[in-house]
Amino acid sequence: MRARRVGWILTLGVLIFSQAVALSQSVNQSGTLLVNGHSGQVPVVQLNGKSYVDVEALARVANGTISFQGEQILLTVPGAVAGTAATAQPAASVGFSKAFVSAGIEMMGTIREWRSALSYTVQNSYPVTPGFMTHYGGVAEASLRQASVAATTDSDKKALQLLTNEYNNMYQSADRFKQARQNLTDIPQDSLDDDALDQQIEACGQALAAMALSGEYEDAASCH
Amino acid sequence: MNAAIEQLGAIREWRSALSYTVQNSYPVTPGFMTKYGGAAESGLRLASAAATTDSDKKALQLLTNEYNNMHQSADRFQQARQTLTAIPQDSLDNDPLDQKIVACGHALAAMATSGEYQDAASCH
Repeated sequence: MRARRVGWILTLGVLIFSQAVALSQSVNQSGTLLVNGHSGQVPVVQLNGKSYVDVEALARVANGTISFQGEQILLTVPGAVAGTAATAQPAASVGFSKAFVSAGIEMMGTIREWRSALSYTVQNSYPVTPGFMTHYGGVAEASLRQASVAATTDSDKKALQLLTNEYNNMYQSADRFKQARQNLTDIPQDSLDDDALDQQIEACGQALAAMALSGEYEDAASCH
Repeated sequence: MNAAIEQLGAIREWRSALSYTVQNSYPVTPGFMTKYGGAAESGLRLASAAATTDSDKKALQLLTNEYNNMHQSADRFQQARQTLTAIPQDSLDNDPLDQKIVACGHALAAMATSGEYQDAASCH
């Protein structure tokens, strides 16, 4: 990864140099090198129509470090300065962001609380009231919003859709009992035993937890 | 890590259900303790079996403390019901033990996210 990035930086450096520096056709002169928003004067050698700069000078201009290991030259440069062309690096779009994983785990925790409380409420013939929906649904909804704000990478955004589906399914599951109570419909205590929607919610929760642990997005049928 | 996250989820369920039960003056019965305490205890055993590294073992101690605190928190309401002691609906508002459980849960979740053990005063 680092080697690939260094190669990209070097290419970028040469490209920018070619475009940003007006060099005469003299064999050896000084020019301004621009790398990732950092600039500096470096010696430039023209040879066979190409421009060459000292790799140590390149490292210095880029605020990087350089070391030599056998035949390998290891050049490490810090991140690009904001607002420069180099900020277009795609690294931030790979995998889950830490903030999203944290928010996602919190969100899944609220869904677990909601589902568990619904199960206990139904089993004990307690009423699923609007207060119940506000207590658990409100917390889950706020948590979903937090996850939405934290979603920055492509993986975050795809997983956010699954979290949203999980929230919607949980809402639907609880709401049917609230509706049944409002309509004075009898609610058997074993209503959630072998209930397909409840099992789907559980399976989706497990799939999302596994994703959080692995750090990689993987679509889950139970979350659709 | 997987077992720890599962265990934390079980504690959250327990605490949330206790909060709702107390707020609505529902009874904290032995059945309540069995449903939520049993799930949390089972989760703790799984986490214990999965703990292999030094960090795992240190975090396991914090998880155990969290479980014990949660058990203590719920058990006092069960005891109060058995002794026919009145339980105000706002019993858990500003309750230090309940707040400690929340804080410890947050600390453990942060550890799970970072992947690194860090001692947390709220878990002692």
